[in-house]
Amino acid sequence: MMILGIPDPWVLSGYLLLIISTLLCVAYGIINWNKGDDESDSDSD
Amino acid sequence: MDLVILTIVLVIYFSVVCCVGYLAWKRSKSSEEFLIAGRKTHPYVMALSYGATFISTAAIIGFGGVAGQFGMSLLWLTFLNVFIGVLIAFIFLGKRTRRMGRNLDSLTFPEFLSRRFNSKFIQYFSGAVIFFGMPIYASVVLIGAGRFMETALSLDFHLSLLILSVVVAFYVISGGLKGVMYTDALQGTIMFCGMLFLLIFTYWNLGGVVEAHTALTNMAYLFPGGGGWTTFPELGSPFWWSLVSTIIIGVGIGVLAQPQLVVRFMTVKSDKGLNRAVLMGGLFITGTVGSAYIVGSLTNVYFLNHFGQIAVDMVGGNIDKIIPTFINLALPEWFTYVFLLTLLAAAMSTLSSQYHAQGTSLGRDIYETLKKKKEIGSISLTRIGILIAVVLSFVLALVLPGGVVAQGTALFYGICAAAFLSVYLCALFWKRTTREGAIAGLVSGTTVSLFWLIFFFGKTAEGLGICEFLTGQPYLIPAVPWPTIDPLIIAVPISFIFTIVVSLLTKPMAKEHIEKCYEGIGSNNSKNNQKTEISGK
Repeated sequence: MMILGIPDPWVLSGYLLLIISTLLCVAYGIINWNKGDDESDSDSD
Repeated sequence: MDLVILTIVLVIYFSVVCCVGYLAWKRSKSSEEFLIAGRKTHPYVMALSYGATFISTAAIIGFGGVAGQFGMSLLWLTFLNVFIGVLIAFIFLGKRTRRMGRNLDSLTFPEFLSRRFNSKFIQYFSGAVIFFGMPIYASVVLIGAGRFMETALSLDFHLSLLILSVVVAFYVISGGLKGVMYTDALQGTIMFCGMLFLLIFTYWNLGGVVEAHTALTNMAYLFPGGGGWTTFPELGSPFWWSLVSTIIIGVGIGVLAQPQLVVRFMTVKSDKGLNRAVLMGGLFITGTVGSAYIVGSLTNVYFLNHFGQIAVDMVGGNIDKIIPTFINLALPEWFTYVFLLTLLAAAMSTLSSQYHAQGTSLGRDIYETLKKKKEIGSISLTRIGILIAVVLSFVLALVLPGGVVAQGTALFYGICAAAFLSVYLCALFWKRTTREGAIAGLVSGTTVSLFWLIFFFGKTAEGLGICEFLTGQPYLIPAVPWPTIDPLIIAVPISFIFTIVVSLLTKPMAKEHIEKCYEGIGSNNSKNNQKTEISGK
């Protein structure tokens, strides 16, 4: 059975991993959108 | 295509870029602002600047063409670009680099390594690797952009090179890294929108995602030498080695140690900026490079449906023409203007960062370190360095033989990763690394990668011709897989071994210095947070 029209598991996994890693980037950015604003940085600016 | 409309579009584009450069100049008064954009860059600007610097025209046209020839297995490269080049790099390396860079008050990548290991040698040696290695890479990008202007505007090639050099030099010399990053963000936005439209249009034109892929799979019988565009190359075949070795490891992992990219981590104000930049950077790389590789592969379906030929045959074997030919034939005319702008933006954003990195290397890292001057005249020195870099790339673009030009990017990536990867990672994660270990890693990595590039790695050895001149044969070991193994695979492990072994054999660095470097990082970070909470109460 072909998924997404791609029969080779290696190529398919490359395609899916690209989508998954992009979604990970998006999720990470959203979850940590307001985190990491440390005190020491604003002090020295 | 209407030459008048194209000229107007390009004049407007150049004017906007120059205006952005002027704004950056107005805001760049201190050396910190000129060298690392004042450490207060907006995450959007940082992410797009990182992406646009990373992705040059070659990634879209060159690798897009390779995808047209060999198919979608190349998507592994994009996956690694996103996963390693953005996710891992920003979260694990970026945050540490930003904090350590601030702790050590360093303004360039060589200065960062030099202060981490208390060694001036590291600063000017690294500066020299960048300053002497990068011009070939920069001239390759310049030649690509010059050829594009020559073809699109029917301009003389030399005049095209001159116009590009003057415009880019203007905003880099005047605006410093702020000028580079602001214009990168503008150019990155153009690239992202252009490439995303191209992807959506291609899928729509071919009837949808699954339909397009299935059509590509069904034409596998036309794939030269057996296999298919949706099939991974056969294990151990020359293309398999080339794909896995050069492309995936070389470019995918090589990105971690690019000085012009690393320095961007130090331009944001806090970890929050990097967290937000992960989202934008991931989307940008997928939207630009992912689109180029998918569209490159799918051009085969379009060409077969409309012209009865596969992509390689359609362009007479010149794979660099696959994407442009597809755009000329398949897309609406207005998009050809957008796409030309996309290509120019991709080239200029890479070029500007290269000029800036070379300028800071020559001015700040080499000249200022050897002359032992502090701060005074940093901006002027860097400006002179940038000017020399611009002139050098321009001259190289005129005189370099074709064989060297074709390998310029691989040469620079290979040398950079081999020289810096082990030292940079150890600087961030291994407190036991010593000055001597870092120097050993840096020198061994650089030497071994140069040796491998000149004598063993088929493409570069043949292109440079030094091995042929000295030994009478293009490369020393002709048996597969040796000529296809990227220098990184050999030089990086050797550099790591030297860094670790020499560090273990030499005296650890002073505890106070290590504490200063790692202040606010890892376990020290949680202690600091506790202190803040206590003092806050």
